[in-house]
Amino acid sequence: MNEVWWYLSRSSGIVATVLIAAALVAGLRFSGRATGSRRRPKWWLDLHNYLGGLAFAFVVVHIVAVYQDELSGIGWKQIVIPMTAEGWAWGITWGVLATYVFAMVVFTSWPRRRGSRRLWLTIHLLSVPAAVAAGVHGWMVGSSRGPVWFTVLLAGLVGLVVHPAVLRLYTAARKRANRRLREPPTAAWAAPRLPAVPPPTDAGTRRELVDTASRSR
Amino acid sequence: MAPQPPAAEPSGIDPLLDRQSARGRHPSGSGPRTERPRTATRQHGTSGTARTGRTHAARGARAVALTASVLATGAIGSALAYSEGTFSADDGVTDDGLIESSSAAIDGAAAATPDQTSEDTASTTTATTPATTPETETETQTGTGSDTSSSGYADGVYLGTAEYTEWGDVQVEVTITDGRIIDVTAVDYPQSRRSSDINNRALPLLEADAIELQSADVDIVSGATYTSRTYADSLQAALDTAALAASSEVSA
Repeated sequence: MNEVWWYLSRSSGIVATVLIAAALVAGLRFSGRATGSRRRPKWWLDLHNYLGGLAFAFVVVHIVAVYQDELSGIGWKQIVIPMTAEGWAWGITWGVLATYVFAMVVFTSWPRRRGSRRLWLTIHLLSVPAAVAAGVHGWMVGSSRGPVWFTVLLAGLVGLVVHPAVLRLYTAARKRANRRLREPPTAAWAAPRLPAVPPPTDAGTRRELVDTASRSR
Repeated sequence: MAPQPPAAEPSGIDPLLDRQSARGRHPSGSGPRTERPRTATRQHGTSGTARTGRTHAARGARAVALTASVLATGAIGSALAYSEGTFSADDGVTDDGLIESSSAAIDGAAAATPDQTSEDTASTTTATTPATTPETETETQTGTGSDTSSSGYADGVYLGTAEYTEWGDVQVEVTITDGRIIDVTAVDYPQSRRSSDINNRALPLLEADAIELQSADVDIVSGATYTSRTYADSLQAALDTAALAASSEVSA
């Protein structure tokens, strides 16, 4: 039975790595406005959300399988506390840290609309270094200890993620530059002030108020 | 009492206005947010998706991802097990009870115990002892053989007994200089993919422990219990030989 857990832990770890990379690609393409014309952005966002949750589910399966394997030498202490796994302390630690970050990302994404967007975004962006940590974990202790095919798989996943990551960074830089161009050269107090428009009460008054505002301009 | 929002009745003039009113938000988008008329839909007792009107945009891709992930997990696990020969007992016990000698990857020193039955564990140990004793004596003779420190070990290189585990034998070689253990090497240990993975992690820890403690009372490495125990037994046998050599030198 130990062998079943052993191979389940390895295969679920590999699948989780692939899912993490896929979620990262979908998220980066969505936020980098690089979703193409074939699929709507909403499709990419939905896929990103689902792949992220699925990746975390497979991470949980991976952890449970490692724990169940009696010969792995991994107990709850090694799963929860970094640097406690004898013989492969750093390799396991990268995985532990990545799991913590993924858990934070997943569980802060569900009630996102209730909290601060800035905090959510900060935690969400931590998933990128967490994905790197997961890759390092896989490279150091994964399947098992870096055969050629596994190293090639990891390199391929890195290659897949690099392109949308560059697009995302380019989009962010362009957005920042556009925002700087749009800022008025004068001080804020010198900008012409528009008359305040009270909240309308129904459709008829709304039209009148809009007309008033446009006339005042 | 706060004024009630206007009823969400279709005006028949502006479809956008009607839709926004039905969603509970003021058409201008800047007015006070009103409560959504949820009660009517809740009474239907429909599922969450139908109630909120939300659908998953990537429904097909979701199903594909889930199916592919589950299938890939099973396929990769099976492929790993098949390619690494776990279920073909490459270093385990075969049906007729013989330890397979397919552990050809094991060093030449391991050839001391190729054909012992698994049921007869006691005879395994006894049978290996004569095989290793001559080598131990030879190594003792090639050592300096003159320095016996207070630790009670004569200098030299000593080979321990080959200790049996279900996955293969474990045998260590200890080097003693100035009466101190300076090196412990596992000359034989299970070499299958799984065992190798475990032992590559455990053996350096055991070696460091033995050198630090200067004895065979090494801590058991978690996840490598059998290797740790047999390592300690083999090391103890080698140290016993070293102590015996030291006592014979003293008496001579």
